[in-house]
Amino acid sequence: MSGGRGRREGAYASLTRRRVAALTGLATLLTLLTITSLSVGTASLTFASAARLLAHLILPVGAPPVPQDLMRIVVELRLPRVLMGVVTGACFGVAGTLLQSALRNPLASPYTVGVSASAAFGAALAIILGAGVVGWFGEYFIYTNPYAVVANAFVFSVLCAAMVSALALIKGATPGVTILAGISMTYLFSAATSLLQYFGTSQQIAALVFWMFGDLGKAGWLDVEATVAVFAACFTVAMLMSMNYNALMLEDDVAHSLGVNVKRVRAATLAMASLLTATPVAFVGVIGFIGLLAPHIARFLVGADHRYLIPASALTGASLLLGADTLARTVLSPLILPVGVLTAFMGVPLFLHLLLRRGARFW
Amino acid sequence: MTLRICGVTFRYGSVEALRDVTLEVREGEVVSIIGPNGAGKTTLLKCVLNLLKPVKGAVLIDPHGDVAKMRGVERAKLIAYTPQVEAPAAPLTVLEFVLLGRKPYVSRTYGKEDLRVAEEVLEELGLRDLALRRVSELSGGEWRKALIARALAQRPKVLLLDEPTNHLDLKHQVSVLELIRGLSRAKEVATLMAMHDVNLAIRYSDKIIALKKGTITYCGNPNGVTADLIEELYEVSVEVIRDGNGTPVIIPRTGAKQTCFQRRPS
Repeated sequence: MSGGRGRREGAYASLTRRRVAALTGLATLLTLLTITSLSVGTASLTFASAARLLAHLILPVGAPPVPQDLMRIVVELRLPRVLMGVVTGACFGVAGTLLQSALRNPLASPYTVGVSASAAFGAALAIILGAGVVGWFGEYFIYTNPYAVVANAFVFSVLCAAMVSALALIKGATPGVTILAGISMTYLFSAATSLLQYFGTSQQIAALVFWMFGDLGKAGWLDVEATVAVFAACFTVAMLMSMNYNALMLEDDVAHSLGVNVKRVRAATLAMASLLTATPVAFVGVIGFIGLLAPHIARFLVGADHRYLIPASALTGASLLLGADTLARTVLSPLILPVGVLTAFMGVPLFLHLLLRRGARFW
Repeated sequence: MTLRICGVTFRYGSVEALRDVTLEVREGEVVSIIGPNGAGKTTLLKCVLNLLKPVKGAVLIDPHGDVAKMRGVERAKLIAYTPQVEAPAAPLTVLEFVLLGRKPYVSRTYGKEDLRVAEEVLEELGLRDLALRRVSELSGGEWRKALIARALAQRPKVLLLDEPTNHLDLKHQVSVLELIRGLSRAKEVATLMAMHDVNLAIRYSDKIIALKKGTITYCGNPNGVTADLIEELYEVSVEVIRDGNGTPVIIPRTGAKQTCFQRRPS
C-alpha cells in the first residue's frame, strides 16, 4: 500500500519532469533559432559570434565581440525583426491555446474571432479612403504616418472581437455560437474590404495587398516594445487563470460545479486572445496558421495541463514563426519571401503528419 | 448535514418544469429520483447545483445555508456533480482528470494534499492501476467510475449523479451502484441521483422520489412502490412481485393490456 503510493507520487512527478524537460527543450530550440536568425543575412556572422553578440547585448560587459558596423546592422535591422518574430509567434501560440480551450474547439484559432479580416478592413480603410479612427487629422497625416494604418487595423480588430465576445456573454451563447459569430464577422469584414478595393487605385490596392501579406520587417523597436508589453500582460493573466482553463476542458455544467464562472472566464479569454492577435497583426500584417498549429504541437509535447501548455504554446509559436522567417530570408536571398507564405508551406505538412500519426486521439 | 430542497419551482420560459418540489436528503443517504423523460429530474439536479435559478423556493444545505448565496468555490466544496453524458475531454490521464476535482481547493498548483486525496479516491474506486492511462482509452464502466472519482475528489457533502448507470452493462450497473451506496455511507455524503432503471433505484436507494411533469407524486420508502404508482408515473402496465427480502420488483406487462395506456388519436 505505502509502496504503491510512493510509486504513484513518483509517477506524477515523472509526468511533471517530462513536461519540464519538454519546455526546456523548446526554450533551447528557440534560443538556437534566435542566434541562427541573427547570424544569417547579406552581412553574415558565424553562429558563434552571433551567440557572443547576443550574450553581449543581454549582459554588456567587456568589448563588443564584433566590429561596430556589423554590430549596428544586427542591432538596428536584424534584432527588431527577430524579436518581433519571437513575440508575435508567442502571441499567436498563446491566443490559439486560450481560444481552443475556452471555446472547447480544436479548430479555433486567433482568426476564428474575426480578427484578421477586421484588421485588414481597418488597414484598407486607412490606405484606400484615408479615413478611420485617426482619419480626422486629415489625409496628409495618413500618408506620412504609418501608425495610422496600425491604429486603424488595431481598433477594428478589437472592435470586431469585442462584438464576438459580447455575444459570448449573452445568456445561452455556446462555444459553437461564438465560433459561428466570429466566422460571420470574418465574412462581413472581407466583403467590406472587397468593396473598398473595388474603388481603390491600383497603387492603393498594391499597398493593401502588401500589408495583408504579413512581414516582420515592418516592425521597429517601438512596435516590438508594445507587442512585448501586451504579451507579458496577457501571458501573466493566462498563467494565473490556468487552473480555470483546465476545468473548462470539461463540459460547462461540470466546470460550473467545480466553482468556475464559465461565462466570465470565456469573455476574459476572448478579450485577451483578441489583444494578443490584434496587436502583432496591426504591426506586421496577417500571418496565418501559427495560432492553429502551435497549440496542437504544444499539446502533443506537454499534454493538456494548461500550467505547461500555455508556456509551451508560446515557445512553439515563437519557434515556428522565427524558423519560417529565417527561411523566408534565406531561401531566395537576397529576395525576402512573405513569412505568411512560409508558415503555411512549412506548417501544413507538419500538421497533417501529426494528424495522421495521432489520428482520432489528437484532440 | 442535510440537503433541503424547499418548494422549488422552475420555469423554462413559460413552461413550468418543476412545481413546488420539496424533499430532503440526509448525510449517508442515497435518494433516487425516478420518472419519465422530461419529468424534470435533470432540471432538479441543476437547480440544486445553482446552474438553474428557481423562480420560487430555495435549496439549502444545513448548516451551511442557501446554495444560491454561496460563492462558486464555496459551493464546489459542498456539492459535486456528474452529468448524464460526458465525453472524455482532451488528452488527460485518469490521475489528472481526477485531480480536476481538486479545483475548488487549488488556485495555482496541486499540493501534496490534493495528490493524496486523488490517490485515495482512485484506490477506493479500484482505478489505481489506471492512474496513468488516458481517459479516452477507458471502457464505459471505468469512465463512469472516473467521473465519480472526480466528484469524490471534491470531498463533497452532497453528491448529485445524473443517470450514473447510463450505458453500462449489468455487471457495471451493479458495481457502480454498490460503490455509490457504500461510499455515501462511509463518507457521510448525501447522494441524490436521477435514475431510469426503477428496479435498480429501488434496490440501491434509501428513499424514492417519483417525479411527473415537475411534481412529486411519491416520496418514501422503496418498499412502498406499488404497481399503481409506476403505472400512473410511466403510463405503462406493470406487475409488481416481491423478491425473497420483500423488495418490490417491477415487471412491465407485454402484449394487449399495454395499449390501454397508449394515447392514440381516435
